[in-house]
Amino acid sequence: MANANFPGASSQKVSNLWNADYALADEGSYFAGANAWTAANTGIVITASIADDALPAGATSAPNSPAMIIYNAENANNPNAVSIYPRYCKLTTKVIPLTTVTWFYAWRLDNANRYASGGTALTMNNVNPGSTRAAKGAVTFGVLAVNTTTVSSAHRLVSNGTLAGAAPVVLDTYLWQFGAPSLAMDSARAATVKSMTIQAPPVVIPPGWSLQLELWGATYGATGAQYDVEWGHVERTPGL
Amino acid sequence: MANVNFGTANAQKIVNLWNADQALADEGSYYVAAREYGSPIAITASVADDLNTASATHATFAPAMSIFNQENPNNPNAKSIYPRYLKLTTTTVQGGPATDWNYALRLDNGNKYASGGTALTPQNVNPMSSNSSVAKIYFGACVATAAPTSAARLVSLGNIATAVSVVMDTYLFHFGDVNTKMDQLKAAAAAKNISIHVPPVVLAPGWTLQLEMWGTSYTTAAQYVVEFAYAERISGL
Repeated sequence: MANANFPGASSQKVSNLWNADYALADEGSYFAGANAWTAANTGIVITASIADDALPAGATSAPNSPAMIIYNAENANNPNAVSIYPRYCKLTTKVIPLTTVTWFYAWRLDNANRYASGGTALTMNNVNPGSTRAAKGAVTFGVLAVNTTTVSSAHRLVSNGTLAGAAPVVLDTYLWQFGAPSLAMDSARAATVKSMTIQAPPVVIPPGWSLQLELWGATYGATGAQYDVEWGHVERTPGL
Repeated sequence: MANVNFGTANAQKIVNLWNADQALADEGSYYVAAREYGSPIAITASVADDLNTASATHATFAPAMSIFNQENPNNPNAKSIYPRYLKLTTTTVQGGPATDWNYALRLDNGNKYASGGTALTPQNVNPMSSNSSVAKIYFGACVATAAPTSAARLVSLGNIATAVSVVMDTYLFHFGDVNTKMDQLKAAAAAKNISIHVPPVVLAPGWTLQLEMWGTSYTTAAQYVVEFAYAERISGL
């Protein structure tokens, strides 16, 4: 039986000039930022001794000490407010999380500005200099203090997993790609220096919400891991 | 609550003939600038860091590649340049006991190229098109006019490989493709292909995009065969 809502004829022929990211860049909606290289070449330190991702979170739990927070500073009552659509996050290891043998991550949404203080703010550059649009998203990475001691009841865990099944290695690179279902994950996970791609779902950060990256390891000690970070996201009024 | 701006009904049925690159090639907007295999190009030696000052040992001032959009910013029909991929094949490894090999991509307002390097000739991949490129492309031991200006935008930075590279190591930078995966051992002794995800970049009229490469204790110059692919269009049309 035919689908009455979607007939088998009358399709329109098109040629798709741009797929997603470049169309978004062309309209001035795509922003990217990275920490600048410094003479010390040590990246940005994150909080040490984060042992778990428990909720309610304790002092050594990653939900209270995220490595990264992306906050959408738009007013939720503004009908033209933009949402933030993460595209990728890349971390390059400069100092490993001693003496972790298994290194975990989670991405968590929450309906509040989770960021209170600390860390390093990334300058989010519009990748199209022909656009005058400035980023609404505030992106901070490092040793972060959060606004409330634990996430709200509205929080949503949207992704989690293991980055390495053996001790991380200096210059290990982790690349999260958001909303790319055909992405493969075929990296070695052993204790040898590697690049690793990680599939993450599409995520929408509405006005007034935060997305945070949580990193932890059961035996992660008193020396904070350090990373170079690069982040890319899109900002659009939903559906327009 | 449903998204009032984006209902879940009334989708339109389409047949997508081409996705991006082939459609761009078909309309005559796609170019490749490649170097003959037997003619690799040396980049600047002894570039040790990416600090933002005018010194030959700083990658910001000694870029490996400089792409300038020669269009007039005041021309409403000026084209922007959209990088698609950059492929570097190693023919001579970077000398010295390098423990890391790094890159950055930086936009800046104005023509940042001063001298050095080898000009690459853009070719329209559609011989039926009479379009010619507005890009001016140099690869090699380039010298910038100055350190990055206050308008400069760092759009990507990362580590390509550890230790000294291997002859025939090939680096492929993918621009604006969220399906790019980076799953490779970085210190493999055997020659390898390495994919690197970078964001989409729009090189607006009058702007420069430069590739910066550097490594700790890097001494003698690396050499590469280069292939750079990009599209040119009037933004938004």
